[in-house]
Amino acid sequence: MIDPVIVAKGLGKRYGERKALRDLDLEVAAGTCHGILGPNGSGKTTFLKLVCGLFQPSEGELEVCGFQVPAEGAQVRARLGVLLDQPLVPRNLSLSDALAYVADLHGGGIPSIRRDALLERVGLSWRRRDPLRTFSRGMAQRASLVCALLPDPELLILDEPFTGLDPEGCALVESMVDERVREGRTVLLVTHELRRAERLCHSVTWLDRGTVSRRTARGTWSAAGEEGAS
Amino acid sequence: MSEVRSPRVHPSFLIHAAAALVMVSALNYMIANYVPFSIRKIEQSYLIFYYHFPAALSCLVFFTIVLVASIAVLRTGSPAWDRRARAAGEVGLLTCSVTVATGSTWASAAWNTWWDWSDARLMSAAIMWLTYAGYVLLQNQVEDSLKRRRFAAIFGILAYINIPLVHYAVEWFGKSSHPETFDDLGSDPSISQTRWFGVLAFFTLYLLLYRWRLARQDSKERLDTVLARVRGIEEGDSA
Amino acid sequence: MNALRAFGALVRWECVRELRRGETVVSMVLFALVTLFVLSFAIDPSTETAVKAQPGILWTVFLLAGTIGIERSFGREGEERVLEGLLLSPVGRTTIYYARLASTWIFVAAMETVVLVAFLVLYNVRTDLATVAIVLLAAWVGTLGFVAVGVTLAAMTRSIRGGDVLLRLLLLPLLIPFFKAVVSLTTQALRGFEIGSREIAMIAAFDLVYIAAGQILFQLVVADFDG
Repeated sequence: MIDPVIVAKGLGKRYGERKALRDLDLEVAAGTCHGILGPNGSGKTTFLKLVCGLFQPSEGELEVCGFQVPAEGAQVRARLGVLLDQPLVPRNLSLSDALAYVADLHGGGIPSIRRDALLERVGLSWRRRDPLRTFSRGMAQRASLVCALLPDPELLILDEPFTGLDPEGCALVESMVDERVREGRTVLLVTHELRRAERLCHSVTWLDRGTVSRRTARGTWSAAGEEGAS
Repeated sequence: MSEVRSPRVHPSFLIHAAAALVMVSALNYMIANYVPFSIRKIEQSYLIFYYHFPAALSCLVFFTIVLVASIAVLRTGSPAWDRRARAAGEVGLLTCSVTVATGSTWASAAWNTWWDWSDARLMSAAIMWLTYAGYVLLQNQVEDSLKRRRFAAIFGILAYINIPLVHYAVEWFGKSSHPETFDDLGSDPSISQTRWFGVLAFFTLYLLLYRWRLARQDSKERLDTVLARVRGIEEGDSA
Repeated sequence: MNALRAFGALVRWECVRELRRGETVVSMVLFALVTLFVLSFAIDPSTETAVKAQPGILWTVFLLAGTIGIERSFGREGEERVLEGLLLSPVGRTTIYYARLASTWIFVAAMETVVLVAFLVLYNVRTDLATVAIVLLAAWVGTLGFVAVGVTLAAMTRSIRGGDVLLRLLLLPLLIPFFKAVVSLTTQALRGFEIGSREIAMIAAFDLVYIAAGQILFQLVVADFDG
């Protein structure tokens, strides 16, 4: 029985007097895709930032990949791959340089075979010499995906990955999520898109106004989804 | 939410204000009638010292409050400590302005110049004025309140570090063509009594201003919160 | 995650980027030269006052131009999400700070070296290599503290509206003690006097204090990172 990849107990985040997140209990099992859904302002991004170690919890406990956040933040981040709305690398670097940069951030031991394979997989091999700032949004998203997957992270975090992607790009993301899960890795997906979440996620946590409003598992939530988040 | 306080003027405020008024008036009387009219060659312009000295001491006290409150903000994230830091910064800047203005006037009377670049203490005060003006500006310019608190607290610490460095730098590397003569004002006990009474009187006044700024900020913040709720917008991260 | 290795990698990448396409050093040098000329025109060069003012002018130019490099340490074009990327990587916050300090220092020190040569030529300063070495060494060492506190403030002001001006308003008063000491030292060196121990003490204190404070406070700047 493998330990869960994310364990949150009574997790809360306070900004001054405002509580963005409270009493969050959550477990994400290894080798699954878990969705975080909810309306704007529900605390999805806050939770994400807590898991990544960008935010410090105000209360409760959070354990990711077996390490405490934020105490062992560096260990956690060594096992994370994060996809946000923009590439997190210097934009004037070429794509292959950007990947070398990401590899260096992770200690440098990533074989170039892996880089080439990932580029091939997302269809960006032909643009490896182009600077990232010349990439369209869709291509930049694919580049970000490669950067996130390059260190073969135990936990892949996707924050609204489908926004701005064409149908082909969305299909690509979906297939890569499935691949990760098949390989026994874990994916945390934050999205608005109910249909895709339904297809991809084994389980979903719904957030509303900073706390858990509902938990659903695959196959049990179509009706709940329709009445739920906007 | 912070403790509920009556929006009316708190009685302790009035008492405090009355005390300040009485003491400063008493001080003025003492300056006019009690202390020597002039001292040796400095003559009567030295009287400004009785305003300068309390301002300078109070200034340091308030800057120290900024430091303590800033550390507290960074450790607890508490908005209450941020308000204290902010009010102390404003009153500190005000007393620093008084220090610089009276110090400059004193120099001008003694040496017939408006500004004396070689007066070490005046320079220190002026540089600290620039530093804390930056602090007050920072407190007013940043829109995101969480960032503002944290960043202002960080700079509050840096600004205080600057004080000893500036003190020594100005003393060691400032040209001193005018030797310090203002420390030795003579042994007349009335001078010392008036000087320290002045510290008490003016500190009471400045403390009153601090309390006023603090109260005003609190009301403003509560008003902002209410308005924000009414508009349905919330400050801080909206995930 | 080997901190030293990550440090080296980050510094290397910053230098690579600057060598390839960067305009930071070039901008700093050009700005320094322009400012040097403007300040020189402020004083009649034939007077004794002009000679006395030269070290001060040199360091004014260094500080104003250096601030450009410091501003760019976290606010470069195309760099909006890079800090976030670093904070999401396994690299420790302390390593990130020291790497930024080191790379920014390299750029500012490079500018100072070039501008010092220009200064010596433009002001017809006849002196020996040893003196130039001393002046340059003092500049490089003092710049450590300058960049240490600058980088922390730059990380802060990058996300504030009007942050570029605010950076200068906040930074320059903190640099005054260092400025006074290093101008005095430069004057002593150029005139062949013995270098004062107070000058050295102030520069050393400035460096130590602001590297320590800068590093600790940087962690607080990037805690709860919100862009």
